Amino acid sequence: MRQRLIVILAALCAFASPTLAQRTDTFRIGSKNFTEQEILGELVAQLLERGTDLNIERQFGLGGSDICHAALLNGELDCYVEYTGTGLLNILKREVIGNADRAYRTVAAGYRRQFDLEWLPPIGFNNTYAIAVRADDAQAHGWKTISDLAAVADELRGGFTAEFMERPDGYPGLAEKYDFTLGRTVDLDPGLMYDALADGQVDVICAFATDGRIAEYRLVVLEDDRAFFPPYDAAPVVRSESLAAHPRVREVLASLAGTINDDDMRQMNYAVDVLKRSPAEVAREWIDSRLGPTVAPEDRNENAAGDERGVIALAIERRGEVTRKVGEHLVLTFLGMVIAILIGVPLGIFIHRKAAARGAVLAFTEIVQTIPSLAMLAFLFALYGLLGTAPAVSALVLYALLPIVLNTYTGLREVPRQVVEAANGLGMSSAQRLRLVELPLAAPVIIAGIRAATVLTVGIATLSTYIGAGGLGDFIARGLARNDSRLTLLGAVPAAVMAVVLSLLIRLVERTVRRG
Amino acid sequence: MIRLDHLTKSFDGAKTYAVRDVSLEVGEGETLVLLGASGCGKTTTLKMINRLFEPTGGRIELDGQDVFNVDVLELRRSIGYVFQNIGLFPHMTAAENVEIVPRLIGWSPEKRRTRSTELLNLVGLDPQAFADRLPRHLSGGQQQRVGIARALAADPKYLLMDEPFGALDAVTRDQLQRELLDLREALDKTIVFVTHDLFEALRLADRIGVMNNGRLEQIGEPKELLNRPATPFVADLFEHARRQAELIGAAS
Repeated sequence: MRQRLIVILAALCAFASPTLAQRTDTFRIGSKNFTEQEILGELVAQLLERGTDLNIERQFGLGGSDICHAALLNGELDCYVEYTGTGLLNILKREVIGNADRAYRTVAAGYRRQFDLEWLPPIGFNNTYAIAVRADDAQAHGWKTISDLAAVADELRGGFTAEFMERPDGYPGLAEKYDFTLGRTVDLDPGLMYDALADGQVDVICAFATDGRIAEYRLVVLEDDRAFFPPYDAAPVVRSESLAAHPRVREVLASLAGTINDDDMRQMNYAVDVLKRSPAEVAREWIDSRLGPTVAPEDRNENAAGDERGVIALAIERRGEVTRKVGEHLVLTFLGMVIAILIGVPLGIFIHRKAAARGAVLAFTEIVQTIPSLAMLAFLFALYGLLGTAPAVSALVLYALLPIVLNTYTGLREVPRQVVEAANGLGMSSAQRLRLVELPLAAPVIIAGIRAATVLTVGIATLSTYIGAGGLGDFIARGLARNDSRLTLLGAVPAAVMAVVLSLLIRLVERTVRRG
Repeated sequence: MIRLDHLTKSFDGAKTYAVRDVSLEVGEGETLVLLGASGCGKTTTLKMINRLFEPTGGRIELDGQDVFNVDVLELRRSIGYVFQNIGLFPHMTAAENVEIVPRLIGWSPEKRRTRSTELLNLVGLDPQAFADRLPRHLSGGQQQRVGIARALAADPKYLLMDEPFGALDAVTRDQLQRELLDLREALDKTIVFVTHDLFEALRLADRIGVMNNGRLEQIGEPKELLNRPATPFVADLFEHARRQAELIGAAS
């Protein structure tokens, strides 16, 4: 029985996870969760769509280098664009190499040997970290180089991405190399960092050298006078296996080599971040300008020319995509809840009957609840070695367990003692007592727990985007990455509505159960 | 016939005894009332008969068979039980409550419904009006009538009644006592009835077993206990009741 349940659960996950279905002519392209990565992902994807017969799948907006790399290793992705500095320091865990060519050669050799992954030729630009400050401050204090900050470092507030705070070539190394520490630092989302600096919430940020917003927000980049930041040349990284299977990929992507310089990249980022155009459109324009225009390729509903339209206009224009994301979100929520109920209710019954197991089970579900959602997703992704629905649904199940288990247990405990005694006295077996008396009486409380869990699940499911499971979180993450509140609302509003509607529906069921 | 043989029950590993060395017999068709103050062991004794409690020592026989040689669920389903706090299933209608034991032993829905209609009539509840009511829409007296009907549903030979009228007001209690007497005439059940009310015991009992401190002080017909109390406790019990009765006589 238990084995059969596990098989069913596994089948459900497999069914729900399109990434599990192996299709040999499919080529999957990933990106991390910031603008430049999506543009580069689109460039690679559209070039391959034009130049090959491959069925291209996009897995954009993944939550960091580690997830992209792991996905590449286990075949969830065939290709994404990585930076030499990241590959060297984060993935290979080597020392900083200042020379760009040597860094590229080292990283390419290391990847080939250790991971059987191939670095194609660099695209041309170097998106290294850069320390940026407000232009007004720089003028007032006469700051030109990073060293100039040392004198007032105690009074400065730094706003850095989470990755920068931890990387050896990030803040820890910077502080050591320049021999100063800032008065305060806060971890910020990459999309919010520039606003925080422009608004005066922080004084120093770790900009990306190619970021389009540097000029737009009246920021200046300070010179790295002690040559701390290593080169971050961008290049496509591809599975050797995939290259062998599809030799055309190498030829087509060779056309990218050395074609985009820092300035080109900054302009493309600017077009998306500031002019609110879609990465797909910006990528298409660039390809058209090099290879000549073709018939517009598949419209990914990303072609919203940004300007100043309201969120409602945007929603109407992208209704097809919104509907699809709502559907994905419902599927995630539904799968998570069904599995959580199948596990949680029996677990609640079990701890009601076996007092010895109660403390341990409740403590487990409570501890799970305190694990930050993103950490949980990253952990489950590592555990499964899969992107997409399976780890996302597993995370949802784990979070939904506490309210379901706790309410099942509480509901059963609150069945009046004399009713339980009557059931026993009349000769009900323990299973009959459960089915005929205890569960029906506990049902309203159990359903209330399911309702709470559902609302929770709709919310947490928005984070599934970071491991490529889709849903409304895609809009929210893209909105955050591009600092576009309309996009964020496009995800957040339907998610809120979904939570309210599902809650009301379940409350109706609850009322029906509480009959009379 | 129910036979208790040196029955003993301790809840705390033989430090104290709720029931000590109780031996008695209840004959076919007889009503035995176990009488005593709360905590005297009368309910514990009753609950051991259908194995809601396991005895610490001694034997219980039903028709000569040790109850521990019978499947516990079958045993309980074959004994009608009326609970002190009524214990109706709050999510089931009156009829569904009455039909529960027939349902457990696999009667068809039609047969069950016929039976519950018959029994609701028997306990004085019009099935038309009451069959589909939930317990919370019944008065206390009506609830316990349903409780009695439920106990009778599978036509058990034995009926165990644990202070069934204790929670009811005096008028309702009087009415239900009278009806129980009528039922007994009609149904010929062997009944063990637990109460702390001497007048209830006198009214309903063929024989009374007086319990005190876990022990059976005396067992016999009401007249016997009244005229020849075996212990000072039994004598005091009746003396106390006599004075109450005289008070009523003097006032009227």
